[in-house]
Amino acid sequence: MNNQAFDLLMWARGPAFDIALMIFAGGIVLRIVEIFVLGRKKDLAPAKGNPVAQGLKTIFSRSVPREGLVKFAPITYIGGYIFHIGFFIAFFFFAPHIALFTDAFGVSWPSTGRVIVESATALALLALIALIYSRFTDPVRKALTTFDDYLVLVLSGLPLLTGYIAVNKLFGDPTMMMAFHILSVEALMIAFPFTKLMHAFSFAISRYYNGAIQGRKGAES
Amino acid sequence: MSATFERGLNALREQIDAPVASFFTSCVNCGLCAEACIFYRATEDPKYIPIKKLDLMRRVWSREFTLFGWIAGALGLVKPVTDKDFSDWETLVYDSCTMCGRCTLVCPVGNDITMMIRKMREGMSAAGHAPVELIAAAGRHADLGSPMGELHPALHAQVKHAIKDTGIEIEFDKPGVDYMVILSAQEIAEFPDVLGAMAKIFKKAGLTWTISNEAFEATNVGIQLGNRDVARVLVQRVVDAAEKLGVKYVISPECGHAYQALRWEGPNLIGRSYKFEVIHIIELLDKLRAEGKLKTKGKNTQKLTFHDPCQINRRGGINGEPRRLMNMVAENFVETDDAGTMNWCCGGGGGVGSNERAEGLRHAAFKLKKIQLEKVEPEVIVTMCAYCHHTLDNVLEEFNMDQEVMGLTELVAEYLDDDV
Repeated sequence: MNNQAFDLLMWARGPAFDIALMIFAGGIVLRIVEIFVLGRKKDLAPAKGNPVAQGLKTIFSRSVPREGLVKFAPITYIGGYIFHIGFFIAFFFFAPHIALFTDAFGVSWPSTGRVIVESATALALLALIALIYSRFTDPVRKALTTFDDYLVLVLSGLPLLTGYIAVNKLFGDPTMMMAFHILSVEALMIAFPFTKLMHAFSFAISRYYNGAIQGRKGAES
Repeated sequence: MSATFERGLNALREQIDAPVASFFTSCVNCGLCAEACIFYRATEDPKYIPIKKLDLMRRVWSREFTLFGWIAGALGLVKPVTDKDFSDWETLVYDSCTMCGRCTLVCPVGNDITMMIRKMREGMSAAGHAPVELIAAAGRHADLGSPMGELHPALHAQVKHAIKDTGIEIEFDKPGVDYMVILSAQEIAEFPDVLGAMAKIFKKAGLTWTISNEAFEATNVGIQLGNRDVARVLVQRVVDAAEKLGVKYVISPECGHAYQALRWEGPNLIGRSYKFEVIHIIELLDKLRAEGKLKTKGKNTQKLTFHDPCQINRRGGINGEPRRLMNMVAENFVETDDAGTMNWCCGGGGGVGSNERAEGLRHAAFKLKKIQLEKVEPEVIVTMCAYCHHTLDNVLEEFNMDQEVMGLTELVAEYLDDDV
């Protein structure tokens, strides 16, 4: 047993994780409070449609692109789907991850096989590379990209990459790799409230508002 | 009060609410709004990416409404917004956005970008960075009653013509009737036939109606300029006149932003609900059709297509109504690609049409509409907004296209069944 690697792993799983979790949870609460504290004036125009129902519907329906648009930004649309779905599968359906949730919250759900998890991970990583590529080359993406965008792409990719290497014992000391994997997740958690990663929570709020504003008028969203 | 940088910044701050904060928090810089934008698609210039047009507002939000931004600002890590920024953003916010609302419908995180442009214009105009034409029109509208100036004589002349043409009496300021008709300046000045069309339809349907001398102008330049004070005064005029006459309904005419102003923004601008209902003319015609009070005979045999005004369909929710009416009177009604909710803007909305500086961009933006029209090759383009009508007439002329443009109310009136 490599003591240095083991110590790092223990630190990553213990105190480092607690700190990361505190920043992650506290930061997200702060950012959500920052939104709601601003409030919203009551709309006095008599509603034609049902704003609440359409707001809730739009949280889900906006996951599907409008007809004919995918061809204009295929990397962003398709790469975006593959990354999100791949990351979701790797994060939530890998048996050791579920075991962590069971330990922490006492909940569990069925896992999926290694082949699916590993394929999802590899595809998500490829999609990330494509997304980074489009930020360098596509004029629209290039014009919008800031440091934050690259940071988030890299931070989202590292847990996938280190996890894949650690699980498959591809190279390096497996204990060290596992420590790196956990530390990369913690880096992602710490960056979360400070970056556009926040959209993973706030998308439901913004989609709701979009649907509610349109729905009130009886217009599509 | 004169426009100053401080006032602009304050006006912008006042516009930042929970929806705006959620939109900026959610934006992932994906750029998918670009492909929905008529100005980006026509020019492929990345400066026209819709969310980029809001950078200034985003900076104010980030620096003043988020803790991390506030800290970064205090440490001098982010640049404060300056008057030059307002000046630099003016053309992006006024010339290259018709507030058509397509970006709002494609944003994957649900950002209502169009609503934010509307809000950002409040800050821009308060800072004195708005197109001169809109500022001048607001002055004329406030002082003389319409963005085109004093239109009383023109309106009275047009009403006389309509009475002569139709043989139907049209009375001003008649209390106790159910409906009050208001018109857009564009209709009075350029498309007055709509008056006779309404007179004929309403007579057949047995509606009682009047026009108020105190408030006959439906447009609201305050909405386009982004000035709540101007917008409120103009809405209040219509509300006062309608409530004085005691009408049950005010009919919002074939005008996009007029519907947006009176129906959706109005009660919020004056701070209370109305004592009457606002109904769009096309909503009313469709209601009369459903009730059997609007009967037509015969059909138009030309190839007709329909142009959806953004503020009435995409941002107003009136989509099925015009199509049911079209099918009632058109034998050969052909829809273009993207018809309905995602139809392309005429390029003249949101004040862009009256902004001379934006003429080149407006003509470039017609590209998308042109592609739609060339595929269908209609003989007539029917619409339900006098300003779309005006814009289309002009660009069709510019591009040597020989399609005729027509208002839907007039089209329906042509096929009224005289036997019933």
